[in-house]
Amino acid sequence: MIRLAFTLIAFVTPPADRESLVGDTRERFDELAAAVGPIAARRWLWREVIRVVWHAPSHRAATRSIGLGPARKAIPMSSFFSGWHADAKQTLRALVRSPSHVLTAVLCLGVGIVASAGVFSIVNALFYGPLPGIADRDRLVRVFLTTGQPNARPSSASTEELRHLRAVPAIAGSLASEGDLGVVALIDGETIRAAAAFVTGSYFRLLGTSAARGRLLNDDDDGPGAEPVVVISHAFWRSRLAARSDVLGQLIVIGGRPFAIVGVAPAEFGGLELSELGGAAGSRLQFWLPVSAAAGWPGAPDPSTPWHAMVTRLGDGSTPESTAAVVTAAVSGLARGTPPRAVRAVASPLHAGPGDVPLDIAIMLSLFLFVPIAVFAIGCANVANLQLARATARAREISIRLSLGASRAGIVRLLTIEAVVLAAIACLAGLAGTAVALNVIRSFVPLSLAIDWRVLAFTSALAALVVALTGLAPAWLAARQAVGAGQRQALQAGGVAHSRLRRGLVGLQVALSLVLLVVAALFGRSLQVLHTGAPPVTSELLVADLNLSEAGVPEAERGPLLHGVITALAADGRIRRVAAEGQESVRYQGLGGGEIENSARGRFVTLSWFDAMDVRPVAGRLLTASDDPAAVVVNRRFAERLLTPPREARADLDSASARVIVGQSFRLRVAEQEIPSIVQIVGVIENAPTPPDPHDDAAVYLLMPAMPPAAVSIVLRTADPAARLSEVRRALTAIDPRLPWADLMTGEAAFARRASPIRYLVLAAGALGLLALALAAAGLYAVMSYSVALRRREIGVRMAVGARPVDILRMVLGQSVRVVAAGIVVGVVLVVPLTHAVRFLFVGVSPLDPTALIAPLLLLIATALVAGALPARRAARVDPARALRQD
Amino acid sequence: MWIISPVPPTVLGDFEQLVLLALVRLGPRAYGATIRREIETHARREVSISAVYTTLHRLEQKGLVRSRVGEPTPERGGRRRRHFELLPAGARALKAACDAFAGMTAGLERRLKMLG
Repeated sequence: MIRLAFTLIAFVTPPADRESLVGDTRERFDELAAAVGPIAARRWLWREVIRVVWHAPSHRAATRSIGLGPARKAIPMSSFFSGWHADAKQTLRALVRSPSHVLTAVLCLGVGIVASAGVFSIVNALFYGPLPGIADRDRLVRVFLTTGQPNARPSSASTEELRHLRAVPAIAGSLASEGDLGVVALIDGETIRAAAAFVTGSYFRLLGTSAARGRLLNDDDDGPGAEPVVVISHAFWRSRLAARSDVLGQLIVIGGRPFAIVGVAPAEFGGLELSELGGAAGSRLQFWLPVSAAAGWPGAPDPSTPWHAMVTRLGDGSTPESTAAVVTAAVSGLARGTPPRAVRAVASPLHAGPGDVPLDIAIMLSLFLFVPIAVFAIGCANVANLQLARATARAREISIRLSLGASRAGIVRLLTIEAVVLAAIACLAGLAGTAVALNVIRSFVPLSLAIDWRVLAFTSALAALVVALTGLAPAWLAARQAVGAGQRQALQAGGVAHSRLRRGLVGLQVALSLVLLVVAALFGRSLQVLHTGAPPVTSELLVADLNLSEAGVPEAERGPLLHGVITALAADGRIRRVAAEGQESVRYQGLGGGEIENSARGRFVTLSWFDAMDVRPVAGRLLTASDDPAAVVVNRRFAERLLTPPREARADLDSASARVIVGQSFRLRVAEQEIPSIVQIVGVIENAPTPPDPHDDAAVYLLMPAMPPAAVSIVLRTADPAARLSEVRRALTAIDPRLPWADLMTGEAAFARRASPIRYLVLAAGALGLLALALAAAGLYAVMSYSVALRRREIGVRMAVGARPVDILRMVLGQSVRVVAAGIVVGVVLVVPLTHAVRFLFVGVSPLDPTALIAPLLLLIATALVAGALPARRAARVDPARALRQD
Repeated sequence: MWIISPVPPTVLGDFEQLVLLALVRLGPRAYGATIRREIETHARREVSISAVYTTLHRLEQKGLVRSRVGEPTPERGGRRRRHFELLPAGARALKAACDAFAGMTAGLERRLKMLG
């Protein structure tokens, strides 16, 4: 041990003082051993080791200052300690000196890490992570009923099936169900629309949910003769009831009946179904009611329609299969479908069952998982290029270091530290980015999102490996052979062999970013059209969206009620026009006959509607009071479709053809409506969108039937609608208090609200497009930098024989332009069929909209020019004399 | 009255003064181990040998001391010693520092004693 102490002291002491200092220490140690004993001396010795190690750097600096130590150069491994200081300083200086290199590398790797870790964290939370308010989700199984026929999809239980299952004693206690329904609630004198769940008394017990306040529903609440009670969501309690502490016992009128609040569900608890990504908070469940209250509920599905989602908790030793077998035995004797078939049950883990993940979602999910991996791979490739470019440029620096006496081990260590620091910065940036991204996503989805540390660790390790391997390549070469021609040739060989691959990769990145940018631009244009495309009449409208079945209006009363509302409102002199509109999907057959049915939008309108909307006929006339129900008006797009069979290019309808189509008859079918199957066209109108509907797709206009659809919009035309909002609301409530008039808004607001899904698409596609653009620019920069570094000598020769800097600039820039041009050609070839295929997503914009094509192209070219110009400028500044002297 | 010397002597740090005083005490016997022992015995302060060397090199750079490597000796495992010697500039600097200290403490002996 004593020898170790002396070795340590010798190790950290500068060579000039090593002998005398160790001798001095020995002398003192011997003295102390004689005076106070060996044990105390040994204790002193180790204290001395610590003090000497502590002082080593300043001691080394002091010996250097008087010329006793070596000048600054790579230090042999024996003096590892103080070499570390110097290397760290060196690394920092090297990184600070090339901020663009650091920034690009960190961006490429960080983006890849964020994309991969973020997406995998979401998927993990979705399928395996804990759900808010639900205990031990991995023991929960969803139970679906099916007939087992090839085309029968497993679905939820109908009210009859549920009643049958709950009568089986072996199952009743362990099965819970949730049926979601839109309801109308009256709170503080205001009528609102909300989402409610009708649940069994076993529901909260089975899910393991505990109340945030009060209590949750139990079996007693679900029995016959139980008091009507409701559990409200945490969000509803906070936003609607101002998080008051006295809500327990308060009454809410839901669906026309009073319910007493008994408790508040835990925050973020959203029931069995996950709400849609990006869905508004209003689409999440707000009320939980006992399923016994659903009997006779206005607007509830009829007893044979499946709507109760069933769930059960696995007991010890049971599996989803054994559970399914038990339920199948219980439902034997039941039948569903036409012709009726025996029902059987299937069970699957929560959120992974056949009802939850159909094929299209599975495909989307795999795309969703593939994209971040691709982003990460592209980022890694870009960083590899960047690092190689830097290594080539640094070959000269390394050779100088070696010739000045730096050891190879020292060089390897220096480059290792650089790579480690770079990777660490990228990983930290990735971690921070992932945390931020998940925070943003958390506000959209009710999931317990946590960073998936395994994925983060894996991607970070991979990023570090890429940086380290590419960063150490020159060191490895330097350690193997004499620096100079050999190293350069080895690097150039590697560079030339793979340069085509690298450029191809960059070309693909350019193509991808072009596609995404064009899609984003098309969505942006759609949004613009929606905003500027609202007809002038929009500014004079008030729109009331109304769901008659949710409001509890019986079917027979719908017609008279609507008529009463229109008459009452029209009596007000300041309201110029009152009209109503309801939409249903219709199926029709083309004029050419054939069995193929196509679907279109069917719009049921009152006579006053055309006038209220300022709609004029292009050909023929509009509907009149004397028309029979078989008379229809179509818009131009519908007429075009009617004239040409589907799957053929549709010519624009000229006015002559528009006149021809008037008077024609075709076959039309509307679900649940008594409409003659053969209808006759009396007129054609423009495609222009009419508030509140921002779409202008093919539509057929029919007179509002005696029994209106459940969902109707009432439009009022009046001067200065915003000022009259509350007045009209009061007037409407006076007509019938059952109606949920909360959805009364100005025409402009209604128009903008229906356009909001497009805004998400613009944001998503735009963000992805800019990301792809940044990656492509970084890739181009990296490849061109590498190419310039490799061709430094060649550029020197060219300049020596008379090339001007501007020629070199042109040569290098030309190379970038070729890569980008190839990428753009591929991008255009990809983008045209792609946007054509998804053109139904764009509103009022042709997929070949010139602005949407040219703007991204210009942005891409400008970015590419900047990314290519930086290395080109470096090339043009090559000093021929120095470039040639290097070899 | 102000006394300003024509060439201001080097200002010495606290530990530098201790090291220089040890050199004066030791004379030709001054090398790492003895210097440290002098400081530890008389200043009652535990110091590390590298701190001593660091300070000596710093003084050497200022031209106040000089060092030479001695002959191998049989004790201490045959390792050579590095001997240190006070130079005239070092003597002047030390004198100035001691004068300053003495000037400041003059007449304070009793009160300093009372400070404990």
